[in-house]
Amino acid sequence: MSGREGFAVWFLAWREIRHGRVRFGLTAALVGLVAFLVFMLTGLAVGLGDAGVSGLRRLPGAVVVYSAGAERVLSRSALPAADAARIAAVPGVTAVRPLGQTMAQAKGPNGAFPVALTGTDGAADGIVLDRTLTPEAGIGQTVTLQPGGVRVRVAGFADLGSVQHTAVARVPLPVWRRTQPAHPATGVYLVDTDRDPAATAAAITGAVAGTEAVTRRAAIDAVPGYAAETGTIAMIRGFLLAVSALLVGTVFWIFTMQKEASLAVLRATGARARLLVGSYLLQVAVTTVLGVAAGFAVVLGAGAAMPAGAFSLPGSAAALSAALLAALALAASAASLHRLLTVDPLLSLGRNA
Amino acid sequence: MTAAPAVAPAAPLVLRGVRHSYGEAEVLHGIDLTLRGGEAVALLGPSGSGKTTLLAVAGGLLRPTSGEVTVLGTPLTGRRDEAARRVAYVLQAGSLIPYLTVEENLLVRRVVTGRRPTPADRAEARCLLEAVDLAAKAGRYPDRLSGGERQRACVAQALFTRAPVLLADEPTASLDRARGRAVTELLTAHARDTGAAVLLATHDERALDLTDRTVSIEDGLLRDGY
Repeated sequence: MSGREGFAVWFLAWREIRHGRVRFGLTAALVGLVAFLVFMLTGLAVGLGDAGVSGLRRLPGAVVVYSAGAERVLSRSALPAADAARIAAVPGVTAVRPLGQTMAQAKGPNGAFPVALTGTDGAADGIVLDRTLTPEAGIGQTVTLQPGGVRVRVAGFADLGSVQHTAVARVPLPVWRRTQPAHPATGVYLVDTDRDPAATAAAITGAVAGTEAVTRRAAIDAVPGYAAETGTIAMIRGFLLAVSALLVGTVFWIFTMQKEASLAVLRATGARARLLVGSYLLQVAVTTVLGVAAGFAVVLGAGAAMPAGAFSLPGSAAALSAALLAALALAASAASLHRLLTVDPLLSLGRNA
Repeated sequence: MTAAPAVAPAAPLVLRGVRHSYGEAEVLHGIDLTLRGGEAVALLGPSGSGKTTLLAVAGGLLRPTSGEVTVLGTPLTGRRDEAARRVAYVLQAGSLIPYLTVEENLLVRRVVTGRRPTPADRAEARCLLEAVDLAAKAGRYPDRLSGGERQRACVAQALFTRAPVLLADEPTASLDRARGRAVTELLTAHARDTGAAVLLATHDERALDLTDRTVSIEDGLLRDGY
């Protein structure tokens, strides 16, 4: 499209928006409302996902090895120390780290609070708490872990994340063992590999009896409740995106029908079909962009007012949602293109010739 | 040495053997019509006689089933933008674009052909609106005008195109006697002053004394008039 045609597209699009600002404003508001809901759900999905598995995402390893029968649940898995050497002998394995993780209760000076107790090799003495637990205890104070009645000193705070909506607390592996009635050597092993993680996981499961190895992605998906929570929100978000597409498509379909006579006049006076299409798509784009921007602005305010951790809208997730909304709006608006391309200039004569 | 013979300029509008059918029903039965430069021709005929179809074919809005339409010696093709540059319509009063002001309804005729309006274009538009007594309402939207004012705006809009052929279908239908006469005078003066050909479909026999020639159409056949 040449610069001159670009001016004509802008001339027609802008003047129609200016004259019908209430109509276009209401359409943008509707798009904004749907965009707000999509952004809100995206933020909740990310927030819930973080609350469910962020503690696992921050752990090293491409493969997680469970004991057979643990059904990929960290707290049910228990493996012997001897398995570390067997796993290390599997081709492709470059490092093996033990990890114990169970739900526990910690009692500090300000009362009891739940933690996702994580035992790792090489952890500093004492217990390191996720930053969200700052109100529960201070550095140097002692907390008592149940089960086991193990007393540990608070060594510090760090961004450890959470598992199953419970903040992570990290202790040395021997401390974690003391909280377990059966005192297993470890719960699971985290494995680094220089090969395809899925292939390495299959190789470990085949080579080490009594184990089930899966990729880290599969281990995260297996966290109880995580898949159901995020799946439900993803489904609602999908419906909302479909609603937004239908909304934009329908509104602009009606707009196009209502202005068919004007379109015929423009065609009769020499406007090429692509000029009409360009003007139409510009209106759709302006309406959608304004609506999505308004929805985003409102959701930022709403997100700030929500409890910490419940809502998280990273730039990449927001950009993806915005792009999806815009792409779907443009795709849905294509329903009116046929009408634009085939409008009969004869209608401009105001009668059937 | 002999002088080259003078070549007569091609007539602005020529229809040769034009027929048009809607499905099985033929409504134009071989129309031959030539409009010379500077000529204003009245086209008379009862309702249903084929006047509007004839105008639509002459302006390239309808393709003839057979026959040919030429403007300044060049056949009209199916391209609307090309045809619109050469043939302008005086549209019906309800055909102004509702989201453009009266002045913008004139300017848009050039905008759609890829031209950005210049101050000279705006001055010309104002001048034409002055001629149809609408200068004071240039910034109004069509829904703020009376029927007669809208019709006069349509006339100004067509004149603004500077096309060599101007077609008008009942341009005075919604005007009172004085306004109707003024609009017809404007159209015929446009033909005289610019050398354009004007074809005026009308029921209004009062317009006949202002035009150069009259042709009439009945049942899709053209008869030279008076």
